[in-house]
This record gives sequence, structure tokens and C-alpha cells, in this order.
Amino acid sequence: MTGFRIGTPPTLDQSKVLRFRFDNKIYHGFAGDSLASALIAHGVRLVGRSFKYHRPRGFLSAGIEEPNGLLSVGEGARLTPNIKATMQPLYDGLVAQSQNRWPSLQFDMMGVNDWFANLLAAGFYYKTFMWPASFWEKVYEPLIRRAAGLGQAANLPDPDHYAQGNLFCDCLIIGSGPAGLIAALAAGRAGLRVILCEQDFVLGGRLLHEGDSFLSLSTQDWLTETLQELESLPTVRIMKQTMVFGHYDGGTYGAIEHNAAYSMATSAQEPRQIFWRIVAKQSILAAGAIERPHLFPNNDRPGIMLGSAVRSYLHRYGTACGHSTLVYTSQDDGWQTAFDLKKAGLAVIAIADTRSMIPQHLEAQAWQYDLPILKNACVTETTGRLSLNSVTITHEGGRETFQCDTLAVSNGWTPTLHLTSHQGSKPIWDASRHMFLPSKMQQGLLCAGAANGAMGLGECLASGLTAANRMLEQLDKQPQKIILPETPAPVLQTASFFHPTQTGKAFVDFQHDVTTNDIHLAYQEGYRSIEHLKRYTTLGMGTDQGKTSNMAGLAIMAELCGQTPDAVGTTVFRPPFEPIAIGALAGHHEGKHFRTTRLSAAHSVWEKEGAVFVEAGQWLRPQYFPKKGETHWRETVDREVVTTRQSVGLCDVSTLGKIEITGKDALAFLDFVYCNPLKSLAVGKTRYGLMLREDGFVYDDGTIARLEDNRFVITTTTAQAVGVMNHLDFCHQVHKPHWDVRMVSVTEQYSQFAVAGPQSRALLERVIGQQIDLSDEAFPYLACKEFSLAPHIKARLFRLSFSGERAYELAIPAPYGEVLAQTLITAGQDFGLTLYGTEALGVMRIEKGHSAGNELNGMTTAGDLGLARMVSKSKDFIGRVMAQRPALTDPDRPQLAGFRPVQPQDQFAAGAHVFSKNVPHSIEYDEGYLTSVAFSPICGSLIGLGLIRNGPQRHGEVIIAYDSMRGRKTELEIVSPCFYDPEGVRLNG
Amino acid sequence: MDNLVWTKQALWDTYLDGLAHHSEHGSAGVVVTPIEHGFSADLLLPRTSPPTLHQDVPALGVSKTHQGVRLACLTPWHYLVHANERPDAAFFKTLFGSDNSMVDQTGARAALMVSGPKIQDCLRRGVMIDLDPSVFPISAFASTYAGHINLHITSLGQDGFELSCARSMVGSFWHWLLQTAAPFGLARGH
Repeated sequence: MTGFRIGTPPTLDQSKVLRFRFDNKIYHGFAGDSLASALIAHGVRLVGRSFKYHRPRGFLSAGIEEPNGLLSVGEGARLTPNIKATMQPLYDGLVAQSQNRWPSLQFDMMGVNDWFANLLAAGFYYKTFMWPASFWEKVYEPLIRRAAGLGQAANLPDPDHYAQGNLFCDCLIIGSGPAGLIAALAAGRAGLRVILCEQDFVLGGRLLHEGDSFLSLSTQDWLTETLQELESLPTVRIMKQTMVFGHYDGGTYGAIEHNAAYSMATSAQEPRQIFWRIVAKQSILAAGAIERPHLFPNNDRPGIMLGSAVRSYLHRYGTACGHSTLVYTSQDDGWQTAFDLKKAGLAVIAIADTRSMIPQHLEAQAWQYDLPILKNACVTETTGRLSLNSVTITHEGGRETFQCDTLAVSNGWTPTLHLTSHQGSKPIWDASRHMFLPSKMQQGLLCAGAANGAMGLGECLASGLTAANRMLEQLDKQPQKIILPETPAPVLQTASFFHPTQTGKAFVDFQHDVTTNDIHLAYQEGYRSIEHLKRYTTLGMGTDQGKTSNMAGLAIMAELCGQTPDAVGTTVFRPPFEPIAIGALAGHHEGKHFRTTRLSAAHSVWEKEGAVFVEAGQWLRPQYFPKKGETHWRETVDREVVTTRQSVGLCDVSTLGKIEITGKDALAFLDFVYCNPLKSLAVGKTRYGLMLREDGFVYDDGTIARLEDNRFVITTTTAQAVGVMNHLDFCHQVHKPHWDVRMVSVTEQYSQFAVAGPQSRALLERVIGQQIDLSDEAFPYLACKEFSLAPHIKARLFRLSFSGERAYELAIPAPYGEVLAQTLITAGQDFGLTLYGTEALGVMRIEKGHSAGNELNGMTTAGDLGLARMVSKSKDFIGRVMAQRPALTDPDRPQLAGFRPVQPQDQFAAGAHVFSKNVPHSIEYDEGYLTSVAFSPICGSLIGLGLIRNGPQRHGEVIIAYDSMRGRKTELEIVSPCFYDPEGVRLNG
Repeated sequence: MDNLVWTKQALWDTYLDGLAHHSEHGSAGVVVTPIEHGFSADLLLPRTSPPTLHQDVPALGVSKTHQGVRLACLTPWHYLVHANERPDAAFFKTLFGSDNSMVDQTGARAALMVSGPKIQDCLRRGVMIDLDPSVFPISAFASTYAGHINLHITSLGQDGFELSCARSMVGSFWHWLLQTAAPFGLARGH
């Protein structure tokens, strides 16, 4: 296809040609290509611009560590920025764009930043944009953000959907390289439930990226045979394109699976990504290692690549990265790059090694290939703006400049041990191998292969098997004997060379444009701790999280400080290991399904009646029921209030928490959890109850109905239903474990309807009159009764009122809620029944001065709410002691009062603070605030409840309500909180 | 009202309407069948002096059927009861002793039987516990979560699982199941 495609590796299906676009130009690749390999195969070297200086950049790597090759993939709403082209499987029709450049990748105007690099050193924005202060947020920061950065999000709703799931296994193996595969084989043969996760879209790890590595069989044959056996084992689950991004407590891991079945064209049902929570009894981390680049001036030119990446493109993708390569290495592994390129017939200019002593077998092999060797070498300069042209090297023989288009750099390896640190373990420095290794493993996590410092293939396989057998022992399984394939004898020497040059720009962090000079500056300015270095320079803060840069940064700082890397240490690795889509974490829970919605049994009836719904916690409750011709919600609510007060209204109160409490000590328990006395509550009676928290503040209120001697049903507010249930369970288990109390929520079991108004009894008599005597003598205010509504339907009736009118609450098993609601509506027509929602409910309770959620706000005491007389002085109850604290009994505490405007037409709102007249409206003079305000059609004006200092003693006084949000001041008169029927005549009928 | 007919609400119909029947679907990986228990209840025992239980009372995390009544142990002092009709008090006295409290919950939860060749694959995309038969065998019972919704789940062996959620959450639960099962093919059973 092109001059760069030189082989036909088995991982590439050259019969399947795939078309794709990059920066509006059409290219072709093959099935099995990554986006990066397909671009390299076309000789594309320039793929991006750097973050800060907008320097031209090409691919550095072939894997997840890629800092430069970040592209926007997809179009329209599916555009996804910052995709690592090295990890993106090629598919037909793929569209990719380069990022962070204008007007084009080749000619980027913001490249001018590179000329002023000295002004843009680490932390420049802290120093340079100090004045005027107001410009920082309005001018400087937006400008800096515009000039720097990565790709742009689509800013459109995501058309795809995502899923979440849970997997459980005996053994999780992370990484399908040689160590991971052999471990999976051992665990699978032992019959364990194994999950093998591989971030790549092909299994095999480093085996795919090297030439034949075994002595007696080909790598591909061993890989094929091993994978076939693994796939045949019923207890082994293989997950490709699955990134294990985090390690959490109790053997729990987070993983994102890029769903292979998903395609952009047919994604109607398949989730694009699945977020898996994997719980493993044991796990083996075999995630390999990442090669490190060298530091030298202008080490970021397109064409300068990791040696391991050059081999990856050669062996896995059959692609040459250039026509003439120079190898620059500090370790034996770099030499393999030169040998493999020569074997493939590609030009290698020389091998430059930073060492003076080279193992003899490497030199001998180099001579065979006629490769020039440069010892004690150091790259001092490179040239080439959009692609590498030449490399200048000083070495034992002097200083030479070489013309080449590729520089393969190899500077030791960094084990991919991030997951071992997520639970707090710190890596330890191995001076002999020049790398950090996992420290003591956490419970249930073993490390194998290159991730554990085993760099040779033979060592790697043996490490994988050892880890698997250790794990099998821990799970009481027989260790497995597996004959490992023979590998070449020499163990590779690994080393690294970090020269903290200050000449020219030597990039440590390619993605965030952090240079060696920046690290020197951080050192000079005292940011010497590795964590400070990171934050001051942004080293390792990009989407690659410093996978190729952290080691170099800390090595330079160690040298500057005269310390070992061990003493400097690493920054803390935290999840996620790789950026993950927020959508995957949300799963199906998006839009209105973001959280669970609860619907009452009669919901469809309210829908039919035209209700406007409001969220009340998880519930959807009718807010009001507009009628034809009503043009404003207030008009509707006024009608609902007036009709209820004049005739009858119906409201769904099923959402209130309902808890059934039984047991020999049920009454004593209720008397303990409520602050008002309950011991005298008779069977067939209901009482209002006030519940305090242990700290003495009011927690919740509701009613307690005694159905039988030892059987009660209590109600809670809708908002606190779950909390009160938990609170009661806590009180039982912790405070009174020796009491016989049994409780269960019956909120779901019963639909409950409030029927309120002077005609409420008449309406109920028509519906249930044959089953229960509703006369005031038989069923007075606060009565309750369980009765049979039909032979198989047990209902409950309570004579309670929140509105201040004669009212009842009728509870019925939820399956019959719909039919009861409809029946009440039909029967109510003759009485002029109105349905009413939460708005009218609120208006009527404010008219009556009843406290609700706005007043039970966690900051009020019983005394604040005018309920001090309810609180028992003679019994023990939750919150008793703490409620007596001086601060809670201070007579100056704001107390509940009613407020009405001096001029009836005046407006005011809840949240306004109240002040005496003729004082400044500042916090020193603040006397309280309004908690609830509504328009009362009965009073003909807005009315309010609020908390004001000495409120009950100040009735008749005129104060100012100051609403700073709206800039409004209103004269209000302090009145009794009960605006309507203070004698309670209507309540009793 | 004399002519009033107390009809139970058909909870699942709204959601299952339009779903192809299993026999018509052909390749459904997941099959859902509504279940209606004639009687369901919570049976509560005293924690202070637990009674001696009959051998047929299931252990924690297990569901057992005795004389047509299915019992599932939620905690050692809390059992769930499902039957076609309300058993008499003597039945419970035999199993749990006389000091037991029965709270009717017949309308509180909505149940579905889910089965099909892909049911394990489907449920693991949400259910928080391990449903592998080696861990969750036939008659195993758990109270867990799926899609942030509390779920009671009972293994029915070859027949799949019985799932039940709070009645008020049926809409949200169905949304989760529909989304989760869609890639596997979803059909209605008989």
C-alpha cells in the first residue's frame, strides 16, 4: 500500500481494507490496525501540537502511554476528544481530527508561543498576571485557557448509551502479556473462575510487539495455542478492550469495557461502554512496563520515538516508522530495536549507547549486522521542524551529526504498578534495575511479569506462573505444573540515563510541555517535594498522567537534591489509571432516569385529571390540577383551597412514610423516640408526635395511631421516611436492644388519601358508609380504625387534619388505590369535590400555622416551633438531655410567628430576613427569617410563617422583611401563626 | 357504594404491552413473565427471645416452599411470605411459634420471573451480587440492588429468577430492565 508497510503480520487482516479520514484527507488501513499504525503506514509523522508551546509532535509510543498522538475521533454529537490514536482500533469510516491548532496542523499560529518560551516557564501565570487582580478571571484565565489545552468536547447530548455491571471471580488477571496468559492458564486449569482483562483490542501484550522470542516454536503458535485453550475453559472469561482503572477495598476493581459489539452506525441497543465493578478473591497484576524516553535538547520532534514502539509498529502492524533510523539507548533492550530493523531490511544509521561498557554478545551481533556503535554517547541536538532531519551526538569518537528520519530512544522501563498503589502502598526503588517496583502486596493482589520487574521473556513467564501458584495456594488449590517454552538465555540489563540538561528545550512531560528547565526552576524556587513539583510544573497531570515522564522528573529532582530516587519517591497514584467517560459511570441513569422515580398507585388517575407534578424526594406528587380557563397556577391553587374549605377536597398522601410497629414494648419504644407523652394513647386513637435528634433539635413529625394494644402505625414526612426508619432501627438496636420491638415499612403497601372539608364526611359516607360508622360520636377527631372495605380488603381510616377542616385519611392496599381514587372523584362530583396538590396543601397548612419541612429544617427546637409544651418533663426520650443545652433554651432564640403585610397588596417571599424598623439591614440587627410564604385566598393577601426573636411576645409589632435577593423591603405585622380558625371549630366539624 | 367493583391494578400491563411474546420473538435472550402473589407478608419475630424454629424454616439467604407457602429469610427475625392465599395462623405457629407478627404486604412489591439463555449476562449488568449457580444456587434468596433500586431476588434454577421491587419503583425498574435486556433480545413469557 505504501512504502512504510513492509510486512504481513498475523494480527493484520490485509484482506479487509478500511477507509478513514484524518484532517479531511482520506486514508486506508487494514483490520487489526490502530489509528496510529495506519497513519504511520502512510508516512504521517505530524499528528498534533503540544499543549503550551504548540510545538509539532508525532507519535512517541504505540500504547497507552502515548502523550502526543491525541486526536478527536468521531463527528457531531459522537465527537470524542483526546483519544489516543495508539489505542484506537481502526474501523471503516473513522473520522479523526488533530487538535489544539489554528488554522492548520502544519501551520499553527499559536506556535508563536514557542518563541516566547522563556516567558512561559512553569508557574508563569502565577507571577505574570498579578495586576490588575480583576483581570485574572475576566481576561487572563480565559486567554490562557484558549491558547492552551487539548481537544474540544462535542457540547451536544451524547446519543449513545452506557451500561454498568458487576462481575465476580476467584481470580482477576490484569494484562494478557506472557505473564498474564500463563497465570490465566494455570488458574483456569485449576478450575478457578478467572477473568482476564486486556486493555488492547488484541490479546498477547508484548508478545505481539516482538519478533519470534521462543527457541523451539514461533511466538504466534504459542499464543494461538494458549488462547485456544483459555477460550475452551468454561470458567475463564476473556475481556478485550477492558481497562482496569482502579483498585478499591475488598478486592474490588473498576473496569471500563469498550464494547466490541458497538458500532457508530448501529448503536441503538448496544451500550458503547460498560462500567464493570469486578470483585475478585485474588488478583494478579501483569500490566507490563512502559519504556522511558531520553532527555536531550529538542527531544520532541516528530520521528523521535520509543524503541519499543518502533518494534511494535514493525512486528504487530508490519509498518516501518521511517526510512533511516538511529538508535539511542541506555540499556540492552535498545539494541534489539536495531537488530530487528536490520532483519526487516531497514536502514539503521548507528547504535548510540550512553554506556561505555557494552555486553559482548550485543557488540558481536551488531558487527554481524555491520552496525556502527557509538559508546558513551549523548545526543546534544536534533533538527527538523515538522519531521526529524538530523541528530548530533557526542561520543567517545567525538561529535557527529547523522541524517536520519527516526530516532529510536530507549532509556529503561517503568513497571505499570499504579493499581498496586491505589490502596495506599508506596512503590520501592530497585537501584540495580533502575526502576520502582511494587512494595509489599496488599491482601489478594499479586504482581507478575514486567510489572514486577521481570523484564526478560523467560523471567516474565516464570514470574506469571509463580504468582498463579501462590494464588492457588491461597485459595487452597493444587499448584499447576506448566512446561514453559524455552527462551533465549541472556537476561537483559536495564538501566537509565537522566541528564538534567539546561541547554535547549529537553521535554520531560511531552503532553504538558514540562522541560528540564522547569524542574530546575521548581528546585530553585523551593518546590522540591515530588508532590509540589507536580503541582508547580504540572508534570504528570495530563491525560497520560505522566506515564512516560514521572520517572524522569523525579530522577532529575533527586539529582538536583543530591538524593536517590527512592528518597524523592513517586507521587500518589490514584484511580482512574486512564481517563474514563462520565457516561460510563452514569450507565442508564441519565435524563429523567438519573435517579429512581416513585409513583403512587393512583398516579395514572392524577395524570388523567391533568395534574402538574412536582418532585418530592424520589416521588412525583401532584402539585396542582389546572382546569380549563385557568391561566395561572395561583388561580388554580386558590380555587383548590377555597373549594376544600367550602366543600371537600381530595389529596394523595400515599408518599408519607408509614411504619408499622409491633411487639410487647412497642408503646414504650414510641414513648422513647418521640418527645411528647404517648403512654396514654388509647387503642383506636391517633396523636401528633414530634421526634428529636440526639442533639436535641427537631428531626421529624408525624402521627402515631394505635390500632391494637401492641400494634401501631406511625407516619413520617415524605422526605424523612427512609431516615426515620433507619433512626428507629438504630434506636432499637443501640439504645433498647432488650426491648421487644418489631417494625417494618408499609409505605408501599398502602395508598392513602386525605379527604378534607366540611363535606368530607358526607363523601366518605357515600363510599364507605356501609362499612364504618362515621358519626362524630363513633369516630371523633383523632380516631383511627382498621375495617374491611370489602371481604378481602382491609382499609384504615384516620381522622386527621392538616388543613384545619374536618378531614379524614383513608388508607387502602395499594393495588386498589387507583380504583379508590377514581371512586372518590366520581362520588365527590355531587359535593363539588376538588383535587388538590402540594401547593394547596402548603397554603392550608400555613393558614393553620402548622410547621412543615421549611420549619423542621434541622436547626429548630421544639421551643422554636411553639411546641415546648408538648415536650414531656417527666420521661426519658431521644434528645432530652441535649435539648436542655443553654444555647437551645436561650429565650432570645428566634421563635415561630405569623406575618402579614401591613398593605395587603405588598409582596414578600420566604428567605427574607426580618429587622426591627429603623435599623440598618445588616447581620448585627438580623432578628430572624421567613420560612414559608403563600398567598391565602382566605386572608386575601400573602401570609407567612417565620422565626423571629421573641416572636410570640411581639404580636402586633410592625417589622421590615428585607429580601436582599430581590432588593425588596416590606412592612409586615407580627401575628399569631394560626391565621385560620384558631379555635379549631371547623376541625371538629 | 353498592355497585362498586374493587378491581386490582394490573401493574405490569402498561410496561409489557407491546412486548412480543416469547413464542413470536424467536431469539429472545431474556424472557419476562409477570407474577402475582395472592398473598405476601412480612413476618417479624422478637429479637430479644428468638423462638425455636421448625426445620422447614429457611436459613438466612434461602427461600423454601412449605405446603405451598414460600418463605424467604431476610434476617433471622424477618421473613418474607408468599402464597396464593393467606395461610391460617396455625401454619405460622407451627413454623415460628405463637409470638410472631404478620404484616400484610400483598400490594407492596411487584414481581417478575426473568429467564432465558442470556439471563445471567443480562442481570450481571446491574445486580450487585454474584448470581453464578455455584454461589447462588436454586432457592437462594437475597435482598440487593439493581440500577439503584432495592430488589428481592430468588433463584428458580432452570426457570431463571424471581425479581421483585417496591411497587412505586416499577417504572424505574422497568426502564433499567428494558435498557439492560435490549441487547440480548427481550420477550414476554406466558
